[in-house]
Amino acid sequence: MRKVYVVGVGFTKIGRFFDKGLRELFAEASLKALEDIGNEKVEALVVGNMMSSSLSEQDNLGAVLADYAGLGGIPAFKVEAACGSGGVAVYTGFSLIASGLFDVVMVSGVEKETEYPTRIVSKGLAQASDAEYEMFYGISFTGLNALVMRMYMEKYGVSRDEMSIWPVLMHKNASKNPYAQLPFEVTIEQVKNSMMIADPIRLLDSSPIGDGAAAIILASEKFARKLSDTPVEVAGVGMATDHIYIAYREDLLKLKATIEASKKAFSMAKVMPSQIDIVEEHDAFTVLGFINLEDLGFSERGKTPKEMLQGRFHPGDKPTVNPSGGLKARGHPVGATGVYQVAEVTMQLRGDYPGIKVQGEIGLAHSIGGLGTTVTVIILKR
Amino acid sequence: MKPVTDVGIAGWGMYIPKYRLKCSEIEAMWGFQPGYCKNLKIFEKAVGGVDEDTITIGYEAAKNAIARAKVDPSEIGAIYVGTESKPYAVKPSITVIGEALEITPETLGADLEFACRAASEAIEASIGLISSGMIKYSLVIGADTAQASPGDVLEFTASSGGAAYVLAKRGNNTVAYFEGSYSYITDTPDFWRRPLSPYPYHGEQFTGDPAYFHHIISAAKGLMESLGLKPSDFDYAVFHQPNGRFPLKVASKLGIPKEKVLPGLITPWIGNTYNGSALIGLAAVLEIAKPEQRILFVPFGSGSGSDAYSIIVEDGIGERVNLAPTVKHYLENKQYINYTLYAKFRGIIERFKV
Amino acid sequence: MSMKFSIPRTWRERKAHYVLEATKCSKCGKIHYPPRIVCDNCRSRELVRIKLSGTGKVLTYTIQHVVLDGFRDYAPMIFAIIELEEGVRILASLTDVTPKQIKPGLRVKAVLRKIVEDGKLGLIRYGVKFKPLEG
Repeated sequence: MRKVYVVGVGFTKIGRFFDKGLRELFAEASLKALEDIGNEKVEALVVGNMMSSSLSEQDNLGAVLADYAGLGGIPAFKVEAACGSGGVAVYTGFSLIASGLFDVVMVSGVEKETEYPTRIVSKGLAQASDAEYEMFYGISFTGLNALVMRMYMEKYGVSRDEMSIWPVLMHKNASKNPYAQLPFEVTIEQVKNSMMIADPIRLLDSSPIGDGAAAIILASEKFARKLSDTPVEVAGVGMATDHIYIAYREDLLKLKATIEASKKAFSMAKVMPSQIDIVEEHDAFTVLGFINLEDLGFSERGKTPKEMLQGRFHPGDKPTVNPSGGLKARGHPVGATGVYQVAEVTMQLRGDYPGIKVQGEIGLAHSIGGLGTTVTVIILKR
Repeated sequence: MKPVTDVGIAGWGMYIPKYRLKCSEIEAMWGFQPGYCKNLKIFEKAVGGVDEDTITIGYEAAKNAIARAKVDPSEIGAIYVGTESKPYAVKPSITVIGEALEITPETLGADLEFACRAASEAIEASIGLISSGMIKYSLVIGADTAQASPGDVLEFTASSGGAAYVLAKRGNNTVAYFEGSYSYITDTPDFWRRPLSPYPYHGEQFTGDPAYFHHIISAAKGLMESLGLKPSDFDYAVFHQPNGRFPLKVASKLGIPKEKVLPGLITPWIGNTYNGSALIGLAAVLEIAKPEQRILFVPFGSGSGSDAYSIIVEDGIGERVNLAPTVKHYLENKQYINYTLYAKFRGIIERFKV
Repeated sequence: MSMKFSIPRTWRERKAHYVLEATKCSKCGKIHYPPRIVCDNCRSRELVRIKLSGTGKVLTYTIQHVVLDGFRDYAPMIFAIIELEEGVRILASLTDVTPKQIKPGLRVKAVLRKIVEDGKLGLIRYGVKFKPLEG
């Protein structure tokens, strides 16, 4: 397997952009990424996206976007793993180069969620769950995660206010992030009083609905030097899947797919969790923010909220978690997020991240599709 | 009608939704004088939840009946649902219930309509089917989620509920048998609903003497004459019960003391469950009746018609009572709601398409 | 005439929603819900169908206020993960219960109810919900 490097990045601000559709969002991100490599050509395009079909009536997305951004008739296709499409797209792009098939590949994640009222977007997002045995009953994706949040709080004796450290930290980080969707601080009081969506998940526990696109350029070793002064190595990748029907899983408070995927990534990169300096993980909801760190090996089961209240994982700690503000406050245009994360960790390692800067050599990006159904872990080294 | 004496009841069951709307809430909503429904002898009525309909109510009642009958569902050869509130105007309720109970596909049956006595017609048909040897067991369900025009007096009584019976050849797990039956029908327009109307029309006073009383009395008298029985030969009398007053009045006209009627009079606490009405009353009586006792059972349906049955209780009935929830269970397991929640549950809030 | 539900899918999946069944592996004994065709424990294809009792207890629950399209009348919706007597777990809607009455450990039993309708003119989908076991 050949080595793969990230040589260019580009992404849009995240928010509700009624004046931009899938094509416009993609163009903005991809043209920025191409500028980053001096406008050289890419040989293939992998697009991560969840709802182009259900909300934008557009299939054949790879070809449509490649053409719109002037990439030519290159091999282009969409990969989908619900809200983890971005991570899976990076994994796929990596494999295209590692295998020797291509030398320069663009991986992009793009999502357009604001075309319809919430109740319709919710249905689109709920398709990340089991269509016949979960969504059939009318449970939303938030409802599904709420089942886990209640169980976590009861098993580990964590109070509402203790859980709230997550959104409070995420928003604090995002307030320094120029492209974040929600760049403002929130207090524990505000979290407690925010609107209840699916008890116990409140509005401020939940990542927002938004639009965005991110693009990275991957290159083989030979091309990496030509295209960038600061290439970042994709040192390890791992992916795993789990039963989509969450009630069938042995333990609802662990995501087996994260444990498996991270094992593979750590092994390939030949690093241990204690060596990671920066983490951008998939905190779609408050409870996942904590569980992810436990699954990735950074903290003990059930202890993360209390540790975080004592200062762990804040900027300055090793690892610093979600300096971007995470899914909660940086935003979560679902299919795009996984690519945002890799772009962010790359910029951190290169030293040109526009928000809170973290000094470090090794970073980790963690992307989840569904409630831990498809998980990708990418480890990057300076 | 030729009496058929070799068909009986193997199991009975009922289901009454847990929500109750007090009469006084309806009085207050529409400005009726307080105490209006005391007159009708109805205190509260059962209201189906948003996720309930005739099919789900019928299914639960049938499950209870099958449990008491101690039969294998796949041996049931016919299913009937008598109702005037079908979830689909065209698409049978019996197929959903039949599949959910694992009775189908080698089954016959249909959804029947004759206002409140459709289920009774199904009993008559089942007696014929079983007696002829065409089928071994029949499942008859009477269930409704009847609707009345908000503000109309019918709203005090129209409620949701149902009962089911597994009928069989006498001796095949039966706990009671039909000594005989007598049907009497005429074209009497006391109550009707045209297809495009969500609510029925009714003749107020006209629903009394020319309809309810005439048909019940004619059927009961016809039955007693053909079997050579007197009112005093019966230990219990269960009539169709659109309110708490009519059954007592018709009993008195027939010379039957009210003590024999009260055990089977359930409407005052659950409202008029239409096709469930008389069948729930009979189920309540079967819970307490002793072997060799005789029950007069007279359902009535607007349009109009009545069937009168003489039912004799057999040995072993006592052991079946607790195989499924009793009427006491359903009467006690209740939760009061207000008019606004009732309006949401019953879908009587109109949303205009924008 | 707008129709959102698939007729064949509603028909094809009906039995799975009317009658609660799991599969059991003849080789290793693992019980699976929803039913499978290959055991995820030992990869055997020799699975048998077993009917589930329908009684169990609530492990965790949520009260969902923001509902999906088509479920407006059912709000607030209560969902739970229930552990059935046979040891399998099921995700289902709770009915005939108020938020105040629910707690982990609540004993419940399966009933057949309406799950969702395709408007007032379309198909009705029935399925299993759970209500508190009384007495």
